[in-house]
Amino acid sequence: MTSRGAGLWSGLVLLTGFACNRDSRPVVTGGPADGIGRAVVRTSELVAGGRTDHGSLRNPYEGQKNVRAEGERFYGWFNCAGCHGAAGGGGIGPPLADKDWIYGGDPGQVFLSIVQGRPNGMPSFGGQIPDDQVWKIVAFVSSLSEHAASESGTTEGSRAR
Amino acid sequence: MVSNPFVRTVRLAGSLVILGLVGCGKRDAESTPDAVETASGGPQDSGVPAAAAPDDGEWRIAAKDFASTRYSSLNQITAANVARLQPAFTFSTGVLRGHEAAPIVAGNTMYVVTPHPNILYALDLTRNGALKWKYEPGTARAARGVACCDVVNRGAAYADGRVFFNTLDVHTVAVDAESGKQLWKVKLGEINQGESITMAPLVVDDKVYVGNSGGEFGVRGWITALDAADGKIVWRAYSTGPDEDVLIGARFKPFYAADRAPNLGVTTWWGDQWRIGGGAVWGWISYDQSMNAIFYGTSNPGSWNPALRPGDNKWASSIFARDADTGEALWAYQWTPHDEHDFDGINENILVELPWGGRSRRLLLRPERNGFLYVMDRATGEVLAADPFGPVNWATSIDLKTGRPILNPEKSTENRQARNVCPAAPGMKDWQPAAFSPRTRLLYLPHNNLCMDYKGVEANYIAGTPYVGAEVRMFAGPGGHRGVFAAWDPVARRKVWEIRERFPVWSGTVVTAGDVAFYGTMDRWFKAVNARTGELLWQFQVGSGIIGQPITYLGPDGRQYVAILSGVGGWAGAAALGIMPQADPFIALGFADAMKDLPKYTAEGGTLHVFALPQDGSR
Repeated sequence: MTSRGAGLWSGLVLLTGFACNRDSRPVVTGGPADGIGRAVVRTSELVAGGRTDHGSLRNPYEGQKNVRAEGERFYGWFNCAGCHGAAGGGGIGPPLADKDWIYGGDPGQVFLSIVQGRPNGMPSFGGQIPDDQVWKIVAFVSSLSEHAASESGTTEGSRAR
Repeated sequence: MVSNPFVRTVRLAGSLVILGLVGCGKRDAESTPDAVETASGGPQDSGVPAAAAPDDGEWRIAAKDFASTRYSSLNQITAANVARLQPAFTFSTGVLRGHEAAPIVAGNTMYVVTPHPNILYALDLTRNGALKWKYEPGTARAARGVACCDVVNRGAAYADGRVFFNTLDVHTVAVDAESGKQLWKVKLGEINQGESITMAPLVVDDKVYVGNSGGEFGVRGWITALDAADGKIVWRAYSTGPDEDVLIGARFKPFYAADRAPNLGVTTWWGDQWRIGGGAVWGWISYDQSMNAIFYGTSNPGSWNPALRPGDNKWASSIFARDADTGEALWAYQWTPHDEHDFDGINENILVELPWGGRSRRLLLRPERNGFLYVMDRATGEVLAADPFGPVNWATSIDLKTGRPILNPEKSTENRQARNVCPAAPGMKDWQPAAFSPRTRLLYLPHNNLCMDYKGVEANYIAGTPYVGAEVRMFAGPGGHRGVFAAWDPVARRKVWEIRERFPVWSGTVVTAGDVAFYGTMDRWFKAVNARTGELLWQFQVGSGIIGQPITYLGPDGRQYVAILSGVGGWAGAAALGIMPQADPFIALGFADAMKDLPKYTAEGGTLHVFALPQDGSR
């Protein structure tokens, strides 16, 4: 391990120290119980049985715009930017600055995508980033698409030479 | 006949003069002007005079032959009749993303390997391309997350009834060529360390040569030789680290004195940075039977921020010559010491014998990413010439006494932002392989015309995630075009003609004894040009942008065919893969911003296209 790498890992250890307060767990609200008291965070809008109620996890920093800058720092620090772009334009991973979400754009869905990883190349960061920092990243990610255009529309092709 | 305003003829007359001189070489004095010896050996040996050696009509490895000439002595399709070329059959691969592979042809079967998930298709050429079988290696989906520059695969290799290829999740597979049954599959690395494989393996006798990708993920680069019978590792040589890991020993005799110190793979790095220093081996391997040696290049060092890794960073951005049986290093040379611009050094090495300085020499021709076209003595590793083959401003020249580039401090990215550096990070030429015709004695170079702004930034190493550390933004180079297809005379050391293209020419090329060169463009044209003049003779608009490698072969009916995969993507095609350069200029490692208009010309989708002359006898 290089001294730079070592620096990062000691950073992670420090950050993990911050996360010892496990009471800052996400708040579960409004979702149907799955039988053992946990919310169902769906990643599909199509729900068997025709139900339209969706569970969610609320970002504990919801409405606190000041955490976005901190989230942006973590977004860079944990190499999110390396795949999704510093401004969320995408690259190895899909863009985050549009309205098109593969695994859902609700805060709880984004939180779980980061913690669990996703099957087409999104690494699982569970155990690497403390929950409160993940939520700050979620706050930043959510802000990226605030001004995005809607998904439908027409794009022009090339003109004849 | 199609006219093309982009064609420019550059000193064609000069090249003809040089061709005359070439005839003075010892070997050539008693043979036709067609006779240029390339490295001997190979599935189809291009090492004999083209006029005397009938081509077997197959195309068993991506580079056609061990010398990597991508030259076919088939001559039914000529500059005179190629305008009549028409589609023979097509085949959808069912896969999106960038299709960089060369189809291969052995016997009456064509084999096509796709980008991730790396499906191998066998098509029956006796039944107009009917599907014989497909083999799916079960490539891990998660591997897509460690592919820096799209989930490409550059092709399979055929030898002795087996088809070999690599998977993005760091496996090599051998499949029975007739039945499609898996013979063996071995895991060679770990995606959780950022490793992947995109290169086409080379098979020589009983060994399969494979290297890793991941120079943007902090991998430690390696090449390995596998036993073709069972996939067991025979030897593995790292690009960085102590000499014993790099397989540097008593037989190592680099040409330049400074390269002879021990353990340069450690001492040219700060601390243990060599462990995550890149030097991946994701490009091309050539083989010279007379030396029993392989030649291959290594990738850029990691990260891209040079201020974070003081030293020359050996042996990243280098070339190795190794004993093919033992892996022992014979010589090495670093194209770009302490790379400051992502001048990845993995391009093809074309092995030819040409007159040089009054005698015939066994040369290695290297159109290098850093913008210089190197002519080397392949026995010793001496650089005989290194000339810019397009706009270069990061260095003024290569000092032939030391082998080192003379740097332009204005373009340094060491603790500073450099603006308008030429060439850009993908180089004057990236992986897209060139061809060499022994008839014209010209190199055919598909390449880029891009410059960039480059600034090093912080880089955090987290295994399995990107380790880049630079903000790059690219744009068209002088002239405003982004791609070039050029013919280069390696003996006269100058460009003979060039064709300017809107987008980088990210496809490979093939040149034939019919004096036709084929290449494809990212705006969906597959083109045939006159190999002597660059005149556009024929073009066909295919389904998606072309970044694949054309091949030509003799069908079971005795007719000559030309095949190419379309399917835009790759690093250059990232802008067509649904990302948003308009919102974020640094994405796709800075490439997407230069390609914002690509989606106006093409969408994704992999298709094999095969062409032939009409069967009406009017060839």
